[in-house]
Amino acid sequence: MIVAHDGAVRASSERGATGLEYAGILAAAAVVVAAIILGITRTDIPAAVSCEVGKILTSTGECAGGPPVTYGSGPGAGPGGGESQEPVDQQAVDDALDSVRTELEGGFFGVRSGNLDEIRDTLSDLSGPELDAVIAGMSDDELEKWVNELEDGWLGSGWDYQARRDLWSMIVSKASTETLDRLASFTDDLQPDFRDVGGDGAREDPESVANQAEWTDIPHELFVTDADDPDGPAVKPTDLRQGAIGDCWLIATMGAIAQQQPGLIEDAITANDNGTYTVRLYTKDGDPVYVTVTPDLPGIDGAPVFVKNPSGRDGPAELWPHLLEKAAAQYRGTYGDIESDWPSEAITMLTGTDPQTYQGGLFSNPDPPSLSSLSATLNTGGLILLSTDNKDRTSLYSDGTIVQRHAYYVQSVDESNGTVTIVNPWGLQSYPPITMSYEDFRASFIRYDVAQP
Amino acid sequence: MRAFVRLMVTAVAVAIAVGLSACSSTPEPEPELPEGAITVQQNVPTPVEGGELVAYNISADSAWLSVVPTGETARKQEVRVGDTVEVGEAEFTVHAIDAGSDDQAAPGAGSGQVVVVPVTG
Repeated sequence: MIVAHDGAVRASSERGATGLEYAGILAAAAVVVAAIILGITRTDIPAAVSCEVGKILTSTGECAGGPPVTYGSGPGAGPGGGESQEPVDQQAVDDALDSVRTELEGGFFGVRSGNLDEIRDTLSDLSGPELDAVIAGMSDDELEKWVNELEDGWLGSGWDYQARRDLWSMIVSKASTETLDRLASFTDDLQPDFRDVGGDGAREDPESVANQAEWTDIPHELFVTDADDPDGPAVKPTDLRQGAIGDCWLIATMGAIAQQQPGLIEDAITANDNGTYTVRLYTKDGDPVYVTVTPDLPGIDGAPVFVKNPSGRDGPAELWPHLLEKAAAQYRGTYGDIESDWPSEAITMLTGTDPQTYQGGLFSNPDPPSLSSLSATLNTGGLILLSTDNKDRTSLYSDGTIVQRHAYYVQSVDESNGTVTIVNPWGLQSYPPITMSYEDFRASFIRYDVAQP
Repeated sequence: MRAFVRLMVTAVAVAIAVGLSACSSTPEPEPELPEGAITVQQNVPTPVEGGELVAYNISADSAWLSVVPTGETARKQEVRVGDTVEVGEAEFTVHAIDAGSDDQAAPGAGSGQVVVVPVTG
């Protein structure tokens, strides 16, 4: 190199000042051409320059990419949306990347569960932008190997769905859309699948929701207060109605909670800085479990297809019913996994409490609580959920008032008139509450689930 | 003895033939639905032109339809095959009713369905 350089200088000197001028013009032209090419091919010049400077200062030799594109930065974003401004500790990124690669090499017996634990712990300690940088630094082969080890492993050493769900929840809560989109090309665990909704019949029907819906970004607000009741609760039973999925047990319970304990729903949802939402659910044992979901929803023609807001309302979608339903699906695995169940399961999942169940036998009706007991439960914020089976138990079925194989919740009790008023989760706007005598109430349902606050 | 062997060989051959025919038999093809037919699953609100339909309390020869024109209160209607249903300005004919299985199950598990076809012209 030195010899060649010296030789060039000597050659220039021999040609004199004119040669030097030519060389200068050529160099300037080369710089201009390079700048034009760079301008055409890269729109992220400030970020690129920043990155190059960072490389020089930190001697890392790697760029983490430009600022992340995040969920919630568009119109109608909920609180917490927008781009993260957290600084990136490049040393932490490099150390984490080295650690991940070391763990993915595994030991004599390959990658074991302990290696995957180490990767999770390493990623947990990073900020969102640092996590983005680590994922961006991993090759497709490395990501594929990591996901394969998580889902299958060697001799069953992979993680179960629950452990994977918790890992992805942590990542979804702080990664950028760009990172999540890339990860989604390697795993189906990031979003609850909806192609299993409706069973085999729907799968074979090209017009079914399962085959027609696609993930859709919907303008939204987390909670919407009614303009004509600005001081009223943001969470209301009129905010939701069941959509094209058999999850009446869940939607009825959500409606009951919205009526009786709206603050519980507001407290259960946290908006994250990257535009995602973390929902607090509970295990069967009543232990809290946190599920993070993105705000995009299964939709057709831009409208959500499962739980819905009241028909005819203008403005952005009120997101909380969609988030609870999506989080429940993610908690169990898929949207198909939330089709059909008892309301008691939803009560535990959403509140952490274990309801009292009054269940009838094959040839006997259950004996539900008395009117005064029902009234006391409602007055103290408790929940009363009802289930029907496939029998016409009273004349309320044969005249089409009560629906078989369905769930309802109790809205109110009138002790003086001896009546109970119940709500159909298909939506209060289109289905006014049904008031019936206590005798009909006692005879109409196969099961009563009662939860005290 | 020879007759017995012949009988056994024949029996085995018949058994194999019956087994093979069982393996290779194909399920009955689903009947073709008319153009534009919409399957309304039991208890699942289903969007249709003009609003929404929900099929419920389905028996072998009749069912209830909850008819919800967009933004309006639901109206219930008991239907049989051949009946017509109006949803807003749209009109549908009930093409088929299937009560589904009679299994005892939790709410939301109904497997019945009603097929409706838009009335054109």
